[in-house]
Amino acid sequence: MLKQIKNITLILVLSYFSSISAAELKPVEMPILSGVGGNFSAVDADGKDIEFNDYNGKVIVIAFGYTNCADICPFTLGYLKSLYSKLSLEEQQRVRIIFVTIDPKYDTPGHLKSFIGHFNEDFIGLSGTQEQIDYIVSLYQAQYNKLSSVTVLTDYVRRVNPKEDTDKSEDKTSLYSHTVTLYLIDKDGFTRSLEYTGTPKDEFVTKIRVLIDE
Amino acid sequence: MKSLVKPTLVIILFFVGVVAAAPTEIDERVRYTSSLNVMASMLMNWYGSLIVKDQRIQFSPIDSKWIDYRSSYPENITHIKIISTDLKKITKANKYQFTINTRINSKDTEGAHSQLISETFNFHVPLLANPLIEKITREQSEEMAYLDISDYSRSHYKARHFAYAWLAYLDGVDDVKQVINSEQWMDVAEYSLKIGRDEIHGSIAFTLKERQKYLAKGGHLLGSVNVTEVDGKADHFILDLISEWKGINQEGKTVLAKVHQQIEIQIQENNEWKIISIKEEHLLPDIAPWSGFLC
Repeated sequence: MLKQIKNITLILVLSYFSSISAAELKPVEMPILSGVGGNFSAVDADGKDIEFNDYNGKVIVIAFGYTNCADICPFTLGYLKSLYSKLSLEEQQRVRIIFVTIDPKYDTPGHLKSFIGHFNEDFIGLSGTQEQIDYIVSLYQAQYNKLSSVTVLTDYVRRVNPKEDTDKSEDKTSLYSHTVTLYLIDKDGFTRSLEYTGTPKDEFVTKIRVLIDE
Repeated sequence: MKSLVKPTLVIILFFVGVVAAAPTEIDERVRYTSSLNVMASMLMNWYGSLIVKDQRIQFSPIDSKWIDYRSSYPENITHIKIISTDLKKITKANKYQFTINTRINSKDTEGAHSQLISETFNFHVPLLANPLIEKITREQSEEMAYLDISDYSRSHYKARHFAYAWLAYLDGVDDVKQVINSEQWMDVAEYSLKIGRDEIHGSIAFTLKERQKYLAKGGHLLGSVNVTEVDGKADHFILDLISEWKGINQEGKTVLAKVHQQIEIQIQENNEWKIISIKEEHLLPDIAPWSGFLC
């Protein structure tokens, strides 16, 4: 927990410095990041099997997290909501924001859909088997760790939305730490930049637009 | 050899890119006449061969025209530590200037000594040949209080001599084949490469050809070298290299890679290094300080 607090503090500090350096933006340079990402299969929030390549032709932002995350995930999705709103409707149609759960056992497609819908109904939630999720995590060289083998009642977790049709007194969850990076992916599926919630939104939007226009 | 096991970031930050003749095609192995890695390898050879301790580790011969200059170093050098480097490209000429500050430890009948030596190597890079040391200038030489630098031995420099030459070869410089002794293992050693979901296995020659699709034209910048012994195998070592590659892929798109190579080498009876296998994977590039954060 202490480590998480430290990391969040670091992110806030980095955010501060990022906002300073944003004033001196250099021309956007986004090489393909070799070995980061690639095609994978998963299950979308409607329970449909998908291939990541199905989204080819769209600029994509991928985030990892889980619905019972009490801190960074709601913050990240709030950030992405605000980021998305800076794009024109036409641009939004050429962009997909994807949230991949690292807790597919709890985050069923239906629950993920309801969770994501709290931020923006255009956003895509992806789940799947644990193997599928672990593969996606490894492809993006992301990480997640269970914080403890002990599960906690979800009622004790400050979270966005409770899971429907569950008995509050029985509904338990594991808590995780996970990668906070936002992966910016071009229309051919290549990872082109690594961002986070400290990236000034205008800077992030500029990068998205560069990829849209490629 | 255990002294090699220290992870170190030496020189390097300045050894960026590839210089000289540009390739005409990308689909074949790109050939350059030179890379800054060649100069770095030559410097590792220069300093390693000055160290007298552990002569079983061999270096390439140094041009005889430098005999006089080399006699100006202290006798019986036991260790050399490169403290700092500075690289300058001489504009409008294919010339480079490396200024290198070293701490040199030596031993004589009176005991152990340390000396700070600052010298500048002027390289000329001919269009179709390897770089040449044109001139060396001794900028400074002064006695210092003795300090143990025993990690910076002959083997320390041998590992880097080899590593830079290997990276120069990957950059497209064929003339370093002799340094890396590639004839012995190029078609025999196993090279496995993992780039995201793509995995390639085969001989070094085969994998390098496939690798060309991803990293077609560019240069390696060495970040770190680490050497460990292989348990239970005499004279076998793992050379762990991390380098950054910048360039373009076969489609001409800009690519950035953090290349992690684990090279198993065998030191043969004649003290030549033979590559047994190479495992390479591309890690998350160091472009985002937060990419390792977990929340």
